Amino acid sequence: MSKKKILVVEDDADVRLGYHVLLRAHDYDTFFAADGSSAVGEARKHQPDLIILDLGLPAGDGFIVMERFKANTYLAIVPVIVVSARDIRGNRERALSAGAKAFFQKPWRDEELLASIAHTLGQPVGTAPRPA
Amino acid sequence: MTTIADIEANPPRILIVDDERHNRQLLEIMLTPEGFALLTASSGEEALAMVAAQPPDLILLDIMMPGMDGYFVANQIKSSEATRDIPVIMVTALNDRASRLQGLEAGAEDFLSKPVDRAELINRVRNMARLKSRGDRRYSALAEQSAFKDEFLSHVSHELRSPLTAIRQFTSILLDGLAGELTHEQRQYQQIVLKNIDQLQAMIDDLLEVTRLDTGRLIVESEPASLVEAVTDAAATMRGCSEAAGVTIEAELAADLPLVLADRIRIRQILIILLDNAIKFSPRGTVVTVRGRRFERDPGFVVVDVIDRGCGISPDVIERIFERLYQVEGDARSSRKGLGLGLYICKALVTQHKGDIWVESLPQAGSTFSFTLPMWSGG
Repeated sequence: MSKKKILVVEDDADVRLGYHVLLRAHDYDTFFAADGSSAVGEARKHQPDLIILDLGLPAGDGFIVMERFKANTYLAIVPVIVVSARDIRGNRERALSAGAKAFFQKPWRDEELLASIAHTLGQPVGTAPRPA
Repeated sequence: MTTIADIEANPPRILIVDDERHNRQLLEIMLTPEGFALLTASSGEEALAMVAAQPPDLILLDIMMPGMDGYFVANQIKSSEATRDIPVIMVTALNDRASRLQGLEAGAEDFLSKPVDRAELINRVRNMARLKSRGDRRYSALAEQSAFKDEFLSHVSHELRSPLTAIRQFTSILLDGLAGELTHEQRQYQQIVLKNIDQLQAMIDDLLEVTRLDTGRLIVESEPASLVEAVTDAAATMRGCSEAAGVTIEAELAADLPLVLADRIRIRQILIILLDNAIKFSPRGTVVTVRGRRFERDPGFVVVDVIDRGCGISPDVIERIFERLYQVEGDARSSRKGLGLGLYICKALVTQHKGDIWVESLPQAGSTFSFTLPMWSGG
């Protein structure tokens, strides 16, 4: 079975690297977009199985990006997990009603985010491969 | 300084209150050439209604009126937050010391004797109007400053989360061995880093919460909620913390405990603050008990007690414990005190639910924090 692909839309370079190390270690392929305007292009190019989306982004915040995904036949069905420094109150509800599968507030706990990713992808939770 | 141009552009509104028509007319005739906007009322009742509808910048108030007299009217105006800053000049034929004292006690700023001298009237009114407008400007500057502070705090707190995210990410990566195996010592040190990240995060969350409270943006969404669920959930969240402190959390919830009308997330938050506090002051090997039952003193409410067997709170500080930024002096258990916002937030949250919160404590015997929440009465 080929690896699942995750597109991470995140403007902070350090946080992108953190995602890369974590997700690669759990056997996912990772792709990145650093702003709202390149998110759709990167998603079309790599056809991810899941998208991790920040809300506070340059060139189109996360909610606008979700609208753009929804307008695209293929991207409309790719599950989105929103991970943001914004408050849970209000934003979680708004993200979920915009179609996100889950909302995490930064800083998150890795085990919770990984469980949510596995759950969303229909993988058994907690059995993702660990590095030797 | 109030200039002539200011007065012309935005003339101070002056309310003249006198039961005798010719007295009102006399004052109007004297003040009209000065460019003030004049309003008149022929009784205390009418004056109060006008003040409530649209507060004037100054009131000229007769004392001897049938019905509500000037003392009463002044007192009413000065006892309401919305109107207390409107200057009141009493206009009176009573020149004795006792009458003047009574007027000052009612809150009047100044006096004018009848018959009124035109020059004196105009000067006193001008001075008072200038003071008022200076006060208004200062007030609006203060309000602006406070709004800026709230916005600043909110912005800073959100921005602090971003670097904290990267710090937490890479600490977890190291601890999970994703960058190679750690020695026992390295692992221990990284655990300390992680613990401190969590503390910092909790402080940022508290700071944001208080900003929301102070700006009235904290919203409580009441719904039928189970206290049993909330207590179980909060106790599970605090397990790591209680185990590290060698403290056991026990729940004693009445079998007939009804649902409450409250915000689930908020009840959990209240319980976590109280449990965290109780654990912090509990000696190793003791128990923290969470007790829930119908409130005997008020049948529409449920009461929850969080009981610790710690050092207790001394009577001279117990009154202050729910104050913002209050911290127990010389708390030997931890050198790091936090922000002193937990119980303040707790009280505000309980109050927003129309509940009550209090603490009973015996030094060296422990403390019991109790809060009430309204019972859900729907079916």
